[in-house]
Amino acid sequence: MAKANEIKYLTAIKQEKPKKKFCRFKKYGIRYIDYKDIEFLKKFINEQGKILPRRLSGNSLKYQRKVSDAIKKARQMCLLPFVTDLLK
Amino acid sequence: MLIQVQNVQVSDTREDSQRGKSWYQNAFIKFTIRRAGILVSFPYLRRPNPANRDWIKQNLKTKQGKMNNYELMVIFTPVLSEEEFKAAQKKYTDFVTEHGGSITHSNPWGLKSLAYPIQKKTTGIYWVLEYSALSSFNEKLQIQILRDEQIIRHMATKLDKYAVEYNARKRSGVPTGTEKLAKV
Repeated sequence: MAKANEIKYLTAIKQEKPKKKFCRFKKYGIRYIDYKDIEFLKKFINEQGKILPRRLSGNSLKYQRKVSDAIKKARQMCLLPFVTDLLK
Repeated sequence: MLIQVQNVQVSDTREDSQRGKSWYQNAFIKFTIRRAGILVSFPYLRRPNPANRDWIKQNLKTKQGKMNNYELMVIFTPVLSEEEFKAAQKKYTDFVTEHGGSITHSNPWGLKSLAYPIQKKTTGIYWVLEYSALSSFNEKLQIQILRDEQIIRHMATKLDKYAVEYNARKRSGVPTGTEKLAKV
């Protein structure tokens, strides 16, 4: 019987654990997301102006909803574009 | 816990862990004091005492509605001159105060380029107004705004207590906590 450290794999197995995601708003105690603060909202959209999903940003549902509301308000008020290219 | 009111002693025999868990668990002690003929408000009661005047003021619903904090953002056409812009601001601040509201803050952003063209215009004059008014007021304001040909877009947002705090902080230059957030 081969020992555990002698076993060789065809593909290398991942040693590091992926970092656990966390909600930035809960961590830093941000309670209100301002739709006028465009630089802040740009952190949560991609280059085409689309809202980043929760699986990428790690936001909790409560704050993801607030972020998406704020971005949609900013789009209506012409602060952010609906569709674009090379936003950042 | 021991409460003494006008020579009447009422003792709460519950343990500290049980106290204040929910309002109906406190009903027992309220009852014993009522029987003694005295009404006392308890600081640890979850429900605010309706006898409290401030509480009534905040939650009172009249026929016209409740007083709320709002924020109005307006985009004027870029052809407006400085005087016309000021006159338009005054028109709407007066309209708020006429209907029993009060202005918290008025912030003219000035000429800004739009993210996409509206009515073939690529720039607009922004104005942000923070005010408190009755909840029935915004309908009247909207009618006025829609009639106005100088305005190309508007939005009124209701502000919750965190939003009011955030705006007050931002105005006075105190950090709002949003700077700490690293890039996603």
